[in-house]
Amino acid sequence: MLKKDIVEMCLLHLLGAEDRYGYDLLRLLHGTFPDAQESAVYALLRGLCRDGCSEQYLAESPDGPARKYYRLTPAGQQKLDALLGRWRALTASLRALGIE
Amino acid sequence: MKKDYMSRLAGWARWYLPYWEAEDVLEDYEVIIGTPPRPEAELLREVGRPRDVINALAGKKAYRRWLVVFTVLAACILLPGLSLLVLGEPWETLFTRFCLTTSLGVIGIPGLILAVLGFAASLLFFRIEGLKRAPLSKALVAWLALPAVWAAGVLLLFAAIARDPLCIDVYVWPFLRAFLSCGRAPLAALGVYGLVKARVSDRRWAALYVLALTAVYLTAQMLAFMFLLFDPAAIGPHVYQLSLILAVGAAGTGVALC
Repeated sequence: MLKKDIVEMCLLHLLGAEDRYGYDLLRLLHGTFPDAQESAVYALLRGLCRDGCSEQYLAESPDGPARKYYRLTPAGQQKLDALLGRWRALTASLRALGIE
Repeated sequence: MKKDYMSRLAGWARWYLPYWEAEDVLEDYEVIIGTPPRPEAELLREVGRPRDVINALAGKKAYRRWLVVFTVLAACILLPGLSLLVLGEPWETLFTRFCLTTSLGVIGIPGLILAVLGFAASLLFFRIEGLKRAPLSKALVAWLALPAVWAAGVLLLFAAIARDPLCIDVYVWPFLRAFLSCGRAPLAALGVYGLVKARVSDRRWAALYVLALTAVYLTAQMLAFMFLLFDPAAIGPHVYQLSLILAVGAAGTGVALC
């Protein structure tokens, strides 16, 4: 499983929990993966939109002009399930090797 | 002065991405870069070099399509524009005598294909994929004057020579030919500049390409006329051909500016 897949899984997971403002997603993920540039995370987020796994919409912001929010789509949920399945299989394999 | 991070990012975004995607991405990056912008060093570290940032976003298929269109359009103007400088005198002779002149009195098939492709593809592509920004750039108007003045000069020269071939001293003749031949190169370069600006700035810059293309083909046609000068039957077809190029070029420039 590539790091790109893990970051995508995290993005989809966060969007599964609630609709999020794009820049918040970038900051959160950049905090979790400090060696990943913000532009790389942004490219993955746009890629998910292009593939129909997430969609964007404008919504009022409490502290300023309308912001672009992202939400998960059914296709995104399917992709998240697939990525989570691969992630669980990987961690189970690592545990079997004694890596906790 | 070195352009700031956002300006460089905007330039690359408009080069690599279709305008609707470029504007959307730039809107997002206004937020990511922050107000006021984060220091340049921090942006390069945390976000990346502007070209790499945009390259990661570019759809390979859409970008390849733009590169193909750009290459074809550039070839349509550079081939007749640089034929003497790059390919040498034999090609120049071939191009002016056989590509632009036929006994039918219309532009020859290879010249016709290049010219029609250049006019049609530039107008169509930028109409579909280009962005119109108001108001019209003053720089564009100033640049348009160059090929317009050149084309007017070529037409005046044609009128003068057609009326009286001896109005120009025989010793001046080779210099005049060389001047017309070499003058096409900067016109062709100007047309390519118009293409780049039409992509990254405003689609109406395609008018510069169309007018430069017109001037290049008028000049090539004029050179063909100068080869056949002493054939009185050549004047009629050349008037027709020059009028055709001028009419298509003027209409194309008008359409590109709308």
